[in-house]
Amino acid sequence: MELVAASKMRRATAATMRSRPYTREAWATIRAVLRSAPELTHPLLKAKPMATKSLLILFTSDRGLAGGFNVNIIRAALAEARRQGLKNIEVLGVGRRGADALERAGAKVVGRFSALSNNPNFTDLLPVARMAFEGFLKGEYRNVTLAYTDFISGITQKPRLHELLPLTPDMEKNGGMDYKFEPSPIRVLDRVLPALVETMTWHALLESTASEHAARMMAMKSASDAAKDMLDTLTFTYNQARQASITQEIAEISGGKAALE
Amino acid sequence: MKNLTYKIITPERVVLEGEATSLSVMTEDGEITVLPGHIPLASLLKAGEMRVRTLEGKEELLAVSTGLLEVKKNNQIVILANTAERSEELELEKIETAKRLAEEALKNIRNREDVSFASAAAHLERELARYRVAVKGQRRR
Repeated sequence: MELVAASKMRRATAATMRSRPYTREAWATIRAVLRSAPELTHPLLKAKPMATKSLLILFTSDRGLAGGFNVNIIRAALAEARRQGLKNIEVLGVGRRGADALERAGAKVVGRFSALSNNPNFTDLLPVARMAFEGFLKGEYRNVTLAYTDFISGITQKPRLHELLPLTPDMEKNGGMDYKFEPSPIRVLDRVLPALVETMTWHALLESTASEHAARMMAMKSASDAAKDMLDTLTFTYNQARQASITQEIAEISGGKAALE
Repeated sequence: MKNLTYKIITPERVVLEGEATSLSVMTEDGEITVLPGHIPLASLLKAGEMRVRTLEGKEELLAVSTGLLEVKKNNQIVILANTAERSEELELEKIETAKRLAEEALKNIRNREDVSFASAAAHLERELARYRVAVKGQRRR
């Protein structure tokens, strides 16, 4: 189990690295469009102050045996849900654990997706992103937050809440020059923004998957170590008991012999 | 003349990158060929085939779905596509099935909702593009 988790973790981190260029280039394009046409706005870039609800996309695993992985992210998500008021939160659970926990706490779960973390696949994730931005565009949600576990290293993973929608471009960064946009700047935004939402959701899934397998690897390692320790203690106790019984038998035999003489 | 530096990126990975002398794609306004010295441009891609002429004079054939073509200054080209596959990667059989399914779906839902018709039509268009590229790639081998 430890080795299986280790190889799955490596696969997920490699996939994370591979998907970074897309995010970087997509943001650069968006900045370029907004620089060349500052008056332009897009529904995905604007908060919806009229809506009362927020959507929380919670990434957990389907199964346990992953140490503190699920506990930590669920705790962070619950704290956020309580801060905004459980009534104002709707949850989209990717992975069974999170959806179950939030439902028990009294939040409304609007969608469940499971079995994504075993072998993450981009197309399987598209419905998640779609539910998020369609709900947002319809004005049902004030904002959409991703709750996932950030993979920092094999030993450290941190729960993270990241606002997915409205998208906030970081205009400080450079990029963008005089482009010619075909057919028009707004159409370019229309195409790039939803793709970016999908990619960011995909990122969160990969980070979460890498974290899950890292946590499971650690949990399995300490389980193996604990089992080994226990085995050592038991072997020692067994040997002691065996030695004691042998000694006693010899004592009895020699005692019996002495009594006969 | 300087060469083009191109990168074809999907959310999942960088499909292909390198240097080329020319690059042809289908945009919404028709097919365009980008040569070195092109003005900065951002254009929407249509599902279709894409041809890259590499420095060695070899032609790479790819099937891309909808996305964005970006020509930056310094002859840098970035293609952000939802999916992109090189002709070698395409398996004809798999695509035939997908194409058949897409055509059937199209038949079934014609005269129904416009929205689902449009999405099925887009799907068909994408599968047909992949098919064409796969056939061409095979013939060339």
